[in-house]
Amino acid sequence: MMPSPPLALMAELTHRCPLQCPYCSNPLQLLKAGQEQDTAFWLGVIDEAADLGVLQIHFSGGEPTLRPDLGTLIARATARGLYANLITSAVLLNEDKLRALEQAGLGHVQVSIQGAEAANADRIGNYKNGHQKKLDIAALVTKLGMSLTINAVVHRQNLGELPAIIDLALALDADRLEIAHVQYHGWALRNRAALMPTREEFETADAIVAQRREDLRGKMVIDYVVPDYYAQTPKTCMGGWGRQTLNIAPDGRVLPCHAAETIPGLAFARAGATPLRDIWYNDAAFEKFRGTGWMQEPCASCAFKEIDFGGCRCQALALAGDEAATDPVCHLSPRHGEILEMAGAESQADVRDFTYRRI
Amino acid sequence: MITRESIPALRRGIRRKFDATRNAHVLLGPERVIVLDDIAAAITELVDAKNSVARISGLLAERFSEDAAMVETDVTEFIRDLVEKGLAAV
Repeated sequence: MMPSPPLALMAELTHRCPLQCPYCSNPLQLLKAGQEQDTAFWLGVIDEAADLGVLQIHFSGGEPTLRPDLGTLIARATARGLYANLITSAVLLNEDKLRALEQAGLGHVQVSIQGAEAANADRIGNYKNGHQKKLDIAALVTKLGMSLTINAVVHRQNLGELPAIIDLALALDADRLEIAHVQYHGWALRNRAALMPTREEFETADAIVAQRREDLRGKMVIDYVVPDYYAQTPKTCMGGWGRQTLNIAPDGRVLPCHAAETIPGLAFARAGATPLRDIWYNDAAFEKFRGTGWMQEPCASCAFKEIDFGGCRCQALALAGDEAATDPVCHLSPRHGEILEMAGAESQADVRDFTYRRI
Repeated sequence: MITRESIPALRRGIRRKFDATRNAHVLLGPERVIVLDDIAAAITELVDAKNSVARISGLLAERFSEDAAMVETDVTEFIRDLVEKGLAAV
């Protein structure tokens, strides 16, 4: 069956970033500035994406504001009818820069925070005075009339600040708050013992989010990503492999998801060299786990197989050693008990220091 | 609480456009894409920070020759959904 046109393109303009968050979703092998694609490349990608039916473009990284051509790219995306999102740490922005991006057509800015308490947040991101800078920029986003999302990645070392994080997002007049438990790939997997919450901490967080969501209905949207290891059913990773999203790495390789390169044996085509349309509809890496035909048991006969599409392929590889296995966070996976036990043990680990993300 | 006097508007940063690929109007916002069917497209066209729910319903009932009360129920429900998704405010 022919897949639908993609909804979104994740443009990872760079892996460079002033922050060093220990749960960064970028790969362990980070690309250097010299390996990045130039402005002409990204302008071509934007044109091809628009022709292919992409509706949203997420300018991400690394830190996308490190690229001096960000405004040019946003302007092109806007001219081609794409909704431009900026996913940023915000620490390198100021009012003039932000205003220029808004003028270029930027609709939405997602500002990450590392917690609600400045000293702890700055320690997690390993960037001095970053927290206050983020708050200043977040306030400017709404002042300039753009939509504001606050993104907070939560884990054992900031989960106690959850009520304060929600209050902070409200005080900043955010339209949307994304609370995401760490997804344990790459850097986060390396730092898992320092990040994993206990089951009790998770359940408390869960209850807080449920309550505040109800209280804030119609005022601020809270999107919540639960920690995989304590979930009963896997998340619909990327909305399903090759179903909604294209991810382009700083060097131009086109991936079904940002972590897909952890799966050995998958080769990724490069935008510019191969038309984006061909990649979306025909590329072997996109075909590999598209739909349900690749599934093993218990996924193959599961009633939910078109709901969660078997969960996350990268996680199946990392935890079960087989990228085509059922995501072990699923209660139907034979490995599920093992994962829960390991999460419980690591949540008790006496580890506080991080291995920071560095190029 | 949405009443017939409520005046809905798209929230800041939310855009409505026609998408040629899908041959449909869409609403675009942070991590949100809604492909609008003909009725949803007709409603959102009238969500302009000026029209009340009652006026939007009245205009649509007239345009589609439908029962006004029924249309108002549907419009109210649709607007409530947009508000809860963070796409509109009243």
